Amino acid sequence: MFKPGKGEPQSPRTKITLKPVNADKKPAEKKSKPRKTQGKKKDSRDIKYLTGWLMSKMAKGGAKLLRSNAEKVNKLNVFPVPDGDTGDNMRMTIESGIAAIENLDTDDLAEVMRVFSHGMLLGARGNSGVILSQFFAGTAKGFEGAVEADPYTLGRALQMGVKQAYASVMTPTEGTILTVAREAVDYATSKITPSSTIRTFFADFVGEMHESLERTPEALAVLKEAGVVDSGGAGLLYIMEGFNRVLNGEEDGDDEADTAPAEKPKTPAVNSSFGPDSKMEYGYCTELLIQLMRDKTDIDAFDVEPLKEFLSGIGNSIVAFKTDSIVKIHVHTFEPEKVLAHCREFGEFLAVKIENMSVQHTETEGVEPAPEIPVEKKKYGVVAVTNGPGIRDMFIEMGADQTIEGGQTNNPSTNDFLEAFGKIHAECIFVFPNNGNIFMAAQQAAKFYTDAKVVVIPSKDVGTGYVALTAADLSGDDPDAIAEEMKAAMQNVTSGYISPAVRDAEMDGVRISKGDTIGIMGKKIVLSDPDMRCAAYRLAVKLLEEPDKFMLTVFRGAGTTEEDQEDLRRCLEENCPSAEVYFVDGGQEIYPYIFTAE
Amino acid sequence: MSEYLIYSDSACDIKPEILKEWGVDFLPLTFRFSDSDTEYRDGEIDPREFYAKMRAGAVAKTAAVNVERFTEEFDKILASGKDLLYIGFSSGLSTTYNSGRLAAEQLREKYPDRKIFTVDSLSASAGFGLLLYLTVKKKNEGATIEEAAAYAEDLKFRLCHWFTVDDLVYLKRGGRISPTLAFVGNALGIKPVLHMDDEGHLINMFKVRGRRSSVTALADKYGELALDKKGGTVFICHGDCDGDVETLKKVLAEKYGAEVMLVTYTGTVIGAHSGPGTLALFFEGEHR
Repeated sequence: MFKPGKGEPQSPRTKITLKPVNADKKPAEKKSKPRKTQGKKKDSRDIKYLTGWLMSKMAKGGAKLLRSNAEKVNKLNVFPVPDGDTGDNMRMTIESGIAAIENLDTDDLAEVMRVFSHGMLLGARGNSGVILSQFFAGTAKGFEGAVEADPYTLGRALQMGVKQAYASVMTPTEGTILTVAREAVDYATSKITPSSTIRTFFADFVGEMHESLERTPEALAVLKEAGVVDSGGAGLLYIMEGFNRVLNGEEDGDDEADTAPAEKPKTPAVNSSFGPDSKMEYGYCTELLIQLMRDKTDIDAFDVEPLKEFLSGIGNSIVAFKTDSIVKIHVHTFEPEKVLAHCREFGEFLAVKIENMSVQHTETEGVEPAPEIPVEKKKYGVVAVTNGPGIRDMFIEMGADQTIEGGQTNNPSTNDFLEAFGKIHAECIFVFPNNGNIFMAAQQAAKFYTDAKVVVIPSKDVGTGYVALTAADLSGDDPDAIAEEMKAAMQNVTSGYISPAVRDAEMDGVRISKGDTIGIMGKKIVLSDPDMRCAAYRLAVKLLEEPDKFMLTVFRGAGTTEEDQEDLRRCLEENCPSAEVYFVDGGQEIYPYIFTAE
Repeated sequence: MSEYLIYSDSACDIKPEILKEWGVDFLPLTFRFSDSDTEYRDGEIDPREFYAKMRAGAVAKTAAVNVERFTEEFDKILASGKDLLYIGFSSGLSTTYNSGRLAAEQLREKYPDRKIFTVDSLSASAGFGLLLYLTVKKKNEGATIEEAAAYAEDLKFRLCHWFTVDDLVYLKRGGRISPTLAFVGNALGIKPVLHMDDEGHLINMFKVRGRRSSVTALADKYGELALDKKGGTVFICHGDCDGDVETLKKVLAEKYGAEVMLVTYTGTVIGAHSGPGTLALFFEGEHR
């Protein structure tokens, strides 16, 4: 539960708990008290500008608060089943951003946000994680060229963040994280006055976000029925509340106690892992701040493109941009001395940072070049997200080159996909996310990846993905035609699964008691049964009763026994003798059975 | 004009008593189970028993008819003053036809006055049977041996064999299909739909999901290719799967008004390669 901020006026919205609204209290009667203004601040340390240092600290504070509340966010699940993962997805996404700025030694807001959001884009997991990363990426774009930001610039940047977040979703749904972000940004932006500070902005911003989150069940019927607020919105609120706490000095984003940039350690502690016999594996992360000199070059006409070209000849991960008479570059290279010599031809250094990446190398530096590459490029590659050893083997048998272990509560990140792509040497890669909540991360990775055409097949579960993969003929020349064939095969599939219920509920007209096993077909709960075996059988029959369904593939989960399966097989043989039923020892987590009816 | 005899081999999957009715003589191919040296003539074991053994894991090895056997039989026929038209099992799948052809070549010298024709059916199972049936019909209509041989040569490229198997492992094991083509069969629920091409080879044409779809896919092929959908002669062969035969018959009747003239088991020699659960549809089409 959120506590009101220090020095903040008590307001009704702070009573919002991030629990199912119906779980332990009656739905709150709507309070129509006018919103209390947050405008007057008594604190003399008011912050007029958001700087890179402050942003890093806030980011860390946001991540920290989300981290300690991720489980609560997970539980805000529309279905009363234990597969909520929004909190974990968002946490891992923001932590990937934090790791990226960990060793960043700059007060440049645009740069901090660029690196932070890029880290998030790569680490994005789950749809909420992808949307979150896009929100920050858009915001970062809004800060481009800004060393620091006043409330107006901040508001405009956040508006861009909202825009990009909406654009990242094919069919934006209101009553979700999108709405929560948009309403909060709009409100806070509308409240900006010349006397506004970063703090007043965030007070308005977070305040409205609370309210907006509380309104999500009104906007989205499934939330209302489930008695929860939107989980993605809740995750965003924790992050922004974390920002706010740092701003208000209630929380220090860093574990080191200081906020003053001057006291920030200038160099990372030297790690003894690099010794006299170590291999120089990663080169130097080289960052220069260059003052262009009038006696060396024509400052106005100076173009960074030739410089980028030079850098790409001796390194990678290149960033170079010019702001007025200052050029900033970032490059990973084995020959930093050449960079220094070259750059002195047109300027002098304001700052130089050269770090041996073999010492401070972390996995979040970015995508490393793919290991040994086979000579011949094959036409098609396949990447599938699988859950459980049986399902993984099945996909490998059908020709998947790379599998990524993941599933409902374990969404792989964009970077996981990029790494898998990098291990395949093919002209075109088909990706089977096999989960609706993994699709966007795969799609984002597809956009980033340049070494092959990547086609994401929107398979919502392992069964559907398997049908698509087996139905397609991978000998054809036209990848788009193959993708269409795969999608057409999926049209004919109806999927379902059973799951234990973690709370009492009444949904889709089905009464559910905690501990029951519920059966979900498509996106609807169709039954609830105190007996797991009965639930499995009943759902299987329901699926086979759908029009034109003759065949059922049953994926048995890790938690079920062979006896359970035999029982189901016997019941189906006796009662649906004409059905073709295949059993797979899938080994998936959470769901005792996943069914695919064709 | 001398009387002539149409000769065949057991790969046509037509029961001996029916062949007798048609006036067709034949030699059986042979098989044995891999765990024993006992050799059986094709058809010697009841198909139900045979498929039950296969389902239980028995592996059957088949053998072609050799030149000697053909020479022996053909000699008797020619000696009796009859001409001979041998229509044999696809050379794309067995050396049986070649044995018959060699036997015929050898006997030409011995019987210079006899007419001897051999036709490589490039067909198998009841597709081969259907070729025999229609050629016999032609003969009964008064065709000479030359006319009957020419008719069979022409007709064979229009005899459609469309079939599905429950498991490609049998065709793969017997080397009757290339391993890469067999690959799709390993997938759960994937059923291949195959046909026989103009060279008498088995070709994996496409795959569908589920047995039911593969059965209806055969009917779809009938609709696409059959020359006379309502009145044509249709044969069905099966590896002990009566239920699917009924489904297929029903779809053919409902969709095309087609009547199936003959339903028979896939014999033990063909069945040794196609396995239990094979369902095959044979009919005359515009092309294969």
